Amino acid sequence: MSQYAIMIDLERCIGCKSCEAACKLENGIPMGSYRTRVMWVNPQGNMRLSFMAMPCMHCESPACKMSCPVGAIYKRQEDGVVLIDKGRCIGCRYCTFACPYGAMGFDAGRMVADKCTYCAHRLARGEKPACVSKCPGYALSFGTKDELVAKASSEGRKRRNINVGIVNPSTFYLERLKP
Amino acid sequence: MSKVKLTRRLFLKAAGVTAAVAGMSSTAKGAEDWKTHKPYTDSGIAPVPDKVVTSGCMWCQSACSMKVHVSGGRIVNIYGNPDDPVTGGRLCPKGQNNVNMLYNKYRLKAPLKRVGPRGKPESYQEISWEQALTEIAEKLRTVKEKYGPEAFAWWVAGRSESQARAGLSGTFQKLYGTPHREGTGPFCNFSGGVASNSILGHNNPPWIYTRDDFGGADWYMFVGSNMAACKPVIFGMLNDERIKRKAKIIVVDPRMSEAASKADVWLPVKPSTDMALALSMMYHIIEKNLHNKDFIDRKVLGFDKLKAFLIEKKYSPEWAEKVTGIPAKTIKELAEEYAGTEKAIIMGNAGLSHHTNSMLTHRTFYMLAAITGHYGKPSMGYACGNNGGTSMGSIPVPKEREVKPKRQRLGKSPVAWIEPMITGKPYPIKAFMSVGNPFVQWGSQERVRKAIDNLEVSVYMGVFPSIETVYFDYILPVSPWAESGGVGPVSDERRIVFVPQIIQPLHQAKPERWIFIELGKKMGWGDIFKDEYKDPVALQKAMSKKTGFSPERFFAKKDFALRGPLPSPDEPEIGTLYTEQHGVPGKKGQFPRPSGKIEIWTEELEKAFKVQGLSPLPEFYADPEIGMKDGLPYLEYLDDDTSEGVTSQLIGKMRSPRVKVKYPAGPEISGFDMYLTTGRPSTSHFGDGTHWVWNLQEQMPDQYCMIHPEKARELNVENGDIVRVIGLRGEVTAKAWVYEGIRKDTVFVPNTYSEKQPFSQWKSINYLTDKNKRCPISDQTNYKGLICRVTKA
Repeated sequence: MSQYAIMIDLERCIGCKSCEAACKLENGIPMGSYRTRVMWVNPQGNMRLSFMAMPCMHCESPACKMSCPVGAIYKRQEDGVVLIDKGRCIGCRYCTFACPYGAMGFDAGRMVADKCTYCAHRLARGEKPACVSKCPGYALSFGTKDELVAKASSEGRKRRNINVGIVNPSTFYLERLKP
Repeated sequence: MSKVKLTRRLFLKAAGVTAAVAGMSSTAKGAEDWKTHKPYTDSGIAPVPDKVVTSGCMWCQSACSMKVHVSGGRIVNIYGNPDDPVTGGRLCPKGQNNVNMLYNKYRLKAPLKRVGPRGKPESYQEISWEQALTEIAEKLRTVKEKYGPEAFAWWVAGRSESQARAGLSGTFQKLYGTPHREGTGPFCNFSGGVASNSILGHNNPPWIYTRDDFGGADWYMFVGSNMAACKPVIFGMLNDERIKRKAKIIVVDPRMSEAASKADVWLPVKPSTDMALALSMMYHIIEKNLHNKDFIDRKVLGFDKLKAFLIEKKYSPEWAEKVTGIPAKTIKELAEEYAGTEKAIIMGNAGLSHHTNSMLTHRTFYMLAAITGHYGKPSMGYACGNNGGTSMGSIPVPKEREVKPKRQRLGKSPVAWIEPMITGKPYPIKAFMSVGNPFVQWGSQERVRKAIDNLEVSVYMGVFPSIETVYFDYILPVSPWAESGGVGPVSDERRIVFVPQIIQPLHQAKPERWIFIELGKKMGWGDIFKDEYKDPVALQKAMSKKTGFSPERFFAKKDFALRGPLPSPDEPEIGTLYTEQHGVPGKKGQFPRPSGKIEIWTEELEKAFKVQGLSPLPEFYADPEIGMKDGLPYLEYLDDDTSEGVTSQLIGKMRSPRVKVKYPAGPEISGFDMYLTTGRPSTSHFGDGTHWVWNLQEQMPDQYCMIHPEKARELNVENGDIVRVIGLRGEVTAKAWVYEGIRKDTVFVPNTYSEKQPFSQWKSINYLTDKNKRCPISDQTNYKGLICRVTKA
């Protein structure tokens, strides 16, 4: 299996929220709900204004999957994408509490969990996730985790360690060049 | 960031401070409960398109080419166009949300007529297009007979489709005989073009937005330009290049904007004093003998006059430190770096244009680039954004049919029409058509609203039921981009994208082209306003007989985009302007001033400026409120909008005021301890229109007041509290955004919010701005150099 990943470059993100809009249009996400979200991190001390795009991490050992009492969440063998079987989901929301990254949303209309799929339907057509395709800042890159990590290190970029316990997130962030 | 292991929950916690203001919570006061606004769509994902159409975005002036996904006759999504050499297929939130602008439940659906008192939706009655246009035409004829053709004013603002504006509204104006038709320039960056014309001989910036031109410099300074929010796709490319090539970025802005967040150096300048920065940089460069003597000898006129002037006025970095708040040492370093870097770009924008000193500030930065030899090659120069205006052609009017106005035009800015509407002096304006939002965007809102009562006819054309739709007499629903087709607004780099009609107009809305043509026919000009021009391709063909903007040329390009100037049908598109090879197509010389050189000072310029009491050599002055607060020089106006004034020699023959630079002995006003500056809320918004699209509105839902934590503590204000911002002309409320990245003495409140928007309602910040304090040359309003005090609400 080669794990897919999104690499998010915090130096390149300009906070425009184009990824949020792209995701909503592509996936039919309503007002007030999100599969990816851009946070503005206010400047503080010597830290400048920063922005963080936050899609699903598609973890190696997903906490959501582990918490699901009915086995509705599964990790795809071939590419490591974590998906929800919405027919099986009972809407208990254990997964929303389990996810350390706040990436699990909830479709209150259908009473099922909802999250970023890396635009699995687009991947099936040989296309990249909508957010990656439209990003004005070239801040989002999509590929296998190995090739993205190799690219980042060849450019001398530092990765931010956001691992919690044993989940091992696949989506990863490149640190800013200066605070 | 810190070395502590950060989990996403910690990120969320850190980010949560901002989230409270910048997205999560909305203070929706009624009209719409956003939580139940729209369910997850039944189908979930967007359908696979059965047709993909190349088109362009009409929201802002970036001319982004787009790929429109159509499924079953409905537009279902929009992606960027990978064949666009400028955007590389990237798209901002607005471009893609053209979908939600189109299929929007709030849209105006039928023509309306006011039959009751203003200010109430129930005063309006649906009428037919036939009745609406017949009555409007009749009233326009009556006004012309009673008051003369000059009494009709038409604001064809930025939301107007460019083809209808360029091709038809000008024709209408010539047949009617009024001098009062204006676009959005005086509220945007018109002053930059005026300054550029006065020194380089042409209005356009030198660069184009490709990686090897704009993206190729080693050093950038953005002054009053938050390009990351205003042109995100271009700034994104630039930032990508910066990281790859280790270029340096300096941002001069009172707040740490999105652009400043990427800068190596952020200089929080005092509002309205940027001109002092440019003056002192030149002073230091000349003092250190770092100016480009060879370039000046060959290509610049008036350098000696400038040098003597700077020395006489003592515009040194030490002087500028006191005025701007930027340390003299920093100014000197900047000046030396700039003079020593060949590929260096300085970009100005509305942060310079929205002041009483806007034209001269831009002119000073052009001088700075000129004396250091920064023109003639790619990746260099100074320019102000939004000055890509290029001639597309128009529908000709036979000479004998053209009605020449007898009375002089009243100023460049449409706000110059307000006092004549109210007082009838120097002569009355009695009919007003607006394709824009004067009740959101113009200064001195109290006066603007008073003016509407004195008109014999007022017509608003728009897409949404904006606040104007409960004040104007006739409301006409307009079909936007894909329903209408036409061309998008021109970009900084002179690019225009053709927009084909993709779907039929929804409801009873009509494209502006259709409206202007039908109104022209009702005025009795059917032989010129031909029905065939209702088709955007046919109109483009007719307009472009003498230019290169023909439909065939647009469609031959994979991005449907053409770059001007194209003064003849076969003219090739060129990149960088003001090069020895190209100069400016259709004009003489590398720099198309009368001398063929860059003109800092000439006798002709001296005479032109002197008519108004100014000089081409930039004498520093701040905005009046700031000048009065701090004892800095500021302008005294010897004429107002009701007096004859003098005839401008710099922007075409029209009324302009005489002024005098006043040097106050000390502070003249007290009780206002803060500076107030205004601007765009974020990438998501552009004018009133984006506030009606939930997908954009939720990204920046509330009118905020960005305030420094020290000041907030003093006022006992916490993040998210409602504050009152009190200025000289009134007060508004806003949600506090406690933010370290702003000067301690300054607050920033965004524009474009209004009392009548569906998701949140705020009194516009333009109740505080002053329409009478305008740049005497360009006529641009001061939106950004004001004073206020803030209290907890």
